Amino acid sequence: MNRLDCLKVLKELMPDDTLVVVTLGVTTDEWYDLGHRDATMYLPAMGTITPVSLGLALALPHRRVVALDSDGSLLLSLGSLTVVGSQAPKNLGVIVFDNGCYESIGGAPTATATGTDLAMVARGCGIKDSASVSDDGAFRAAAKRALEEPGPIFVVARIKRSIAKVKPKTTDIFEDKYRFVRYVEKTEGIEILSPAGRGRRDPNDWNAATRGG
Amino acid sequence: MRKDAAVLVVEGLKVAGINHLTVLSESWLFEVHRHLENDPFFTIVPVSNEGDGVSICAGMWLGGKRCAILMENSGLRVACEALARLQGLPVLMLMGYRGDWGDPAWWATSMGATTEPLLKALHIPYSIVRRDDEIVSKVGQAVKTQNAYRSHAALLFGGELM
Repeated sequence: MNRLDCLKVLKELMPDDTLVVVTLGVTTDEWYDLGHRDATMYLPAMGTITPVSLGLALALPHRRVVALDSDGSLLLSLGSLTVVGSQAPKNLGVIVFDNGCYESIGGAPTATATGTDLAMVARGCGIKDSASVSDDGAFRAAAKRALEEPGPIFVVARIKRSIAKVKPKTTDIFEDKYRFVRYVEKTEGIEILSPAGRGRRDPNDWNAATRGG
Repeated sequence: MRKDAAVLVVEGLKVAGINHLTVLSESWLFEVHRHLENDPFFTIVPVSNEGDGVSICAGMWLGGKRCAILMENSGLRVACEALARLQGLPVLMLMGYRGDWGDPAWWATSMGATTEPLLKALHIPYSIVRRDDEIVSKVGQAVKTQNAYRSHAALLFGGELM
């Protein structure tokens, strides 16, 4: 099982309005290359994908939120699983692509290559619906559950080392942020980015206050 | 923090419309935390690590919530990497200023020495709150600053309030 095939399955199963937070490195480029979605937030920030997704899920409990994390990234903020477990948002699915290495920077092993079992860690943090999958059929079933069933659902997709030949993403966090936030504003009917100022002066103030008035 | 000052912090948060907070409890802001937990206006998310706390706040902001993290200034050091990477996803930090001028704790001196230099290095605008009568207005100003900069902002609660 490789990551690109898993991402294709997710793309196929995922409703357009599912909010997705994507981990950095090659995963970003592969997801981006599969086609543009306004409902995707890309985070070039190790260790923040699962906690940011948790915050988003808590903020919008009526929307499905899916984190597409990686073993290297999640290992940096493993404690965030304790908060996912304690808050237990029903609308959150966390899918971790676990290839046992820091693939994008040359393939040095992560702790999952030497015994750390992320699904067991998640269960130990109180996320009861937690499982590892390692073949395409099992991934499809687990992905469907992560997108539809009451969460939190934690899926470890054990994948092979494999980097697809795709074009690198050209947008930065600011462009990604504005696109994502405008999408949330539009679909939720809310204002997230405040205007520079509320209220303006009356253009006749000058005349009224001077001899010209 | 003195109980009367803590009540003013809670009032400032309400006036500013901040009703979601991530918290890693600490000695100087304990009274604020206690008030928040007992007030149904607030949704509190306890965290075990300030880096996770600021990331959760960033996610809440993406979802349109007004939120902040309540933590000790030692937590700023823990959260630096997440704050630096999550540029443009504004996180408001409310911190007790341990190691402030007159803090008797020897173990807090490194916090006093590093807090403001770190905020400056991260280009995070901040203000130090020293008087009861400025608490409510400074919380409101912090939100305006956060919105204007479209980035993180911080309030440090000084020793005079403790």
